[in-house]
Amino acid sequence: MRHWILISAVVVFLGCLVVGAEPVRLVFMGRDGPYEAAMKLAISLYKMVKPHVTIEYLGLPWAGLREKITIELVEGRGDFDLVVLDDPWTPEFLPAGFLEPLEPWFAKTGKVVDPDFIPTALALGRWPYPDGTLYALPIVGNVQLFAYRRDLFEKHGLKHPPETWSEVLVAARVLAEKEPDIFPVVFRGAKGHDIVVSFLPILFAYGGNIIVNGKSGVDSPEFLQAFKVYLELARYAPGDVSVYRAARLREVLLSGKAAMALEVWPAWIPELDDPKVSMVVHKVELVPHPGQVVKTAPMLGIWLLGIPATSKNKAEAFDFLLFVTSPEIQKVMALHVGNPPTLMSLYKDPELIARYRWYPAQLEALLAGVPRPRVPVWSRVEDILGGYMHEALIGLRTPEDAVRAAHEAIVAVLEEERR
Amino acid sequence: MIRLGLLKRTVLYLLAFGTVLVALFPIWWLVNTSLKTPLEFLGGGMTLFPRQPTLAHYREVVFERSFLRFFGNTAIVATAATTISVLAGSLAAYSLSRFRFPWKLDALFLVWALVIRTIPPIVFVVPLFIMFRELRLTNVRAILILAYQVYTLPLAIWMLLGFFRAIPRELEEAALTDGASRIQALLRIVYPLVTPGLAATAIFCIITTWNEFIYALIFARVPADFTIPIGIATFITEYRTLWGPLAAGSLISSLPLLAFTAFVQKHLLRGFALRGIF
Amino acid sequence: MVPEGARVQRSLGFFFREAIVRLGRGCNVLRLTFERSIHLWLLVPAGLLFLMFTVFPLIYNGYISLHHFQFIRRIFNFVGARNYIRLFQDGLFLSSIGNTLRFVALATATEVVLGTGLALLFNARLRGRRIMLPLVTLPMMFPTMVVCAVWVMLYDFEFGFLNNFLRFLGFSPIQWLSDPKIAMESIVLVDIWQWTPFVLLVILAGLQSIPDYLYEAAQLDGANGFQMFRHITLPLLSFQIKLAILLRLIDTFRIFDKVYAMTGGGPGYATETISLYIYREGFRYFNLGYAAAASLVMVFLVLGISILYARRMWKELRV
Repeated sequence: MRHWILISAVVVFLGCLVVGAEPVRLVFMGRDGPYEAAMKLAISLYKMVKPHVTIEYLGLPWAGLREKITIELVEGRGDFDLVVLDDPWTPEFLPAGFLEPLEPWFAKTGKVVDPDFIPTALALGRWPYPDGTLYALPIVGNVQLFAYRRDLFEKHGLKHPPETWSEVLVAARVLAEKEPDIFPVVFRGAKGHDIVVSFLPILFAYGGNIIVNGKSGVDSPEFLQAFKVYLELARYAPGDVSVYRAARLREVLLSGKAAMALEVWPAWIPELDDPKVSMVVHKVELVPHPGQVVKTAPMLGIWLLGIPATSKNKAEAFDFLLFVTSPEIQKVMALHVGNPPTLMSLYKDPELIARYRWYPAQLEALLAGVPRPRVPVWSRVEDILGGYMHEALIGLRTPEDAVRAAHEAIVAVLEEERR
Repeated sequence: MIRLGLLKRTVLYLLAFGTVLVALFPIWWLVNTSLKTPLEFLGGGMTLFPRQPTLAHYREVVFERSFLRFFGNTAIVATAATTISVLAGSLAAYSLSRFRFPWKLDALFLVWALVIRTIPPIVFVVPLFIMFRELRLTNVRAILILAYQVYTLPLAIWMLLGFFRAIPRELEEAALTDGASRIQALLRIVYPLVTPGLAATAIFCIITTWNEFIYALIFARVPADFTIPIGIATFITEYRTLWGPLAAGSLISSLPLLAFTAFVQKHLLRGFALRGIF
Repeated sequence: MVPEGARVQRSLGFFFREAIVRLGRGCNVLRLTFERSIHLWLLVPAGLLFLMFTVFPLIYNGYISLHHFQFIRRIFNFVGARNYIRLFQDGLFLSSIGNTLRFVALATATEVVLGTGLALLFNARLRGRRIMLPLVTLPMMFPTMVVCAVWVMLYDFEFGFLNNFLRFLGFSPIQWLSDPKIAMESIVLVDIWQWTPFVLLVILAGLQSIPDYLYEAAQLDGANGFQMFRHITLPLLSFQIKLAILLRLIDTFRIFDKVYAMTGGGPGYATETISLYIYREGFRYFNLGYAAAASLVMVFLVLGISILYARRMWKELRV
């Protein structure tokens, strides 16, 4: 009799070892701010489903995250199990084998990649872009949108939403005359990244691009034309728009001192209708960018989630990856924190649309979205362009001169890259 | 310096007061902004005082549990790093100010200290990272305390050099001829005289290490490793600056430094009062 | 004296005493050796720290500066002096040097002059000095990013306090950070606000070490304030002043945080500094070898300037 009790005790004990899961600790390296809030929400929900998994979240500013990823990539020893990447970083980090390929994990767990993912966003997680190995899944569906004050447009009988950039210019001129206390236009004019990114929607609309087929597209007539339109619009912007970054842009728009914002981002758009922080509640309309030669083509700014190849807990990390990209969790993150989803169906969800009236416009923008050129030297190209364009913006160079100088420098960089 | 006429005194007071105003104005502006509601802030304008003050932002920071943790990390790292630098630096500075060295070792030492201070700290990030990894050192606080020597040790040596030099040798010579050892002379005679220098150096070292950002960011592995500057950095996001928590966090962070300065200034502002000599 | 050959009964106490005396003599010898080379021993703690945490990074830096080292793509080829040659062919690098020198000269000169003046001011036994002094040093105590955030807000062209104040007084507003002609000076102003207290404290500590009796004696001899300043204060302070200049010189050369946060190197290329260049090359493009070369060029530049300077301080030290 005692033998049986002992044996059953051992069996039960062993059973507990097998069935009861071992506590696992994952470290998640991601962004700060609203992204942190979204991820922490997902993490707390995950804890309820998988209590034995603890996920520690390291929220870092943009530059800090990039620096830490770099060091981890080359010198690290598997400190992190989940990491967030901004899509322009993929041409640098993915070919270096930073992330774990995901398809084998899908096969192992018998799951498939959700066809509901926005195709343009999903493609960014692949290397070579756009249909190579899948390394990361999109979790933040960021795309540029165009904002304008519907009330002001209606007041002055302006056609809205403006469908071409020519119409935008017309509106700017009218508003400059009729509304002296409001800046017709506001955008991010700060040197480097900001000025380039705010220029892209106009450039794309005129049919241009910075890198075309691996060559510099800066010397094209489309580029110059688009740039001149940009500089023309700058005349209707605040005096020091050349130091404006995203935060300042947001403040000016929220304070009601701007009539049109050339590019806004979903992360802070929800605040536009929040009476506690906005002076323009329900007055701002968000639409895909105006087109010109080509119909709207905004720039994508997707955040992707992947698993570092050096991680020691890949199975658990993959499970969380699936969890956080699932429709239910994405919906919760969108409802409670305003995180833009990456699944198409969610943009048609009535509950979300009731909360965020611009979701249909955002979906349209995402589907038509164009990412920044997928070249490893993009950082350098962006800085070069951002420098010369800035000089033209503040009047130190003519647009033709700036474009020519930028083109030469970019050609040199691309040449060097080829060698 | 000794006696001041009334007019002179008034002018001096005005100047001093004016300086304090200039120093405090931007800080006041920070506090001012942090007390405003978001709407009032957006309204813009030149309000020197918030019309509808709110303490909501301060609550956010003060009751955040993590901030206490950051505070603890920062305090430990800054104090330890400063102590090491001031101790090692003062010994070195004393030696360099008193003795001759073979092969110009002293000049070399000092130039080396200068070179280290010249290089932007970020250039050392990768080699330090590699080094700590090879040393299998994983305690982030220990790493920072050691890494910060790059910032503070050269400063301590150079600053203390000047102060030690100002102490006339005769004082130690007198003690030595009385039979004291070098160490005793150093501890009993020289150190007390050099306290203004030690105080000033300690203030600068602690301020530098307290507010250091880049190494704290790179070497942190989990949120619990963060120091105050990183905590504060999260209030400056891409899209907005959370002025309330930023102001609250910065003020809370600077209070210990201010207290330290106030406490230590009594050593700084000693007159030249030597016991038993004058 | 014990007769030769006699066997003597030694007590335990005797041996004990002998041992202690011998030990004492041994210690004395050790102590004397220690004392004789004490100057070297005193350097050991600092020297050890230097050796461990600065020698390797510096040598590593020098080593990789001779290579084309692309961190991400793990390219590591020996290229000799090519990085250095390319540096001097890059117009941006050369103009960064110019901008940096401009910043250094302006900031250092103003801070030292202002700081010394303030130190003299706070040296006077004014009432409330104990409260005013820590308050004046408050700017130093805030993290630079907070300082930048506040000043960017103050400098805002349309809505910032400074321009609003100017408009209030009837002047036209200034493009503080967006005018290429004065953007650098605007950043210098922030640095002056933040770091003049540093100079103030250094000089003040020096002033406080000047014994009162020197001034008393001079007054008895009939010297006035200015003469006392010129003949007592200034010479005794000269080392401290030179030290302040040296330290600010070196620190302002490394200017990075403020420029990065406030203008990003703009408007145009007006505020591009060497540190910004190094940061970009190293952490944005991951060309660590090239960045290392740039940082070494910067070291030589600063050393060149400061060694000429430190030499004079050195001579003073020896006196």
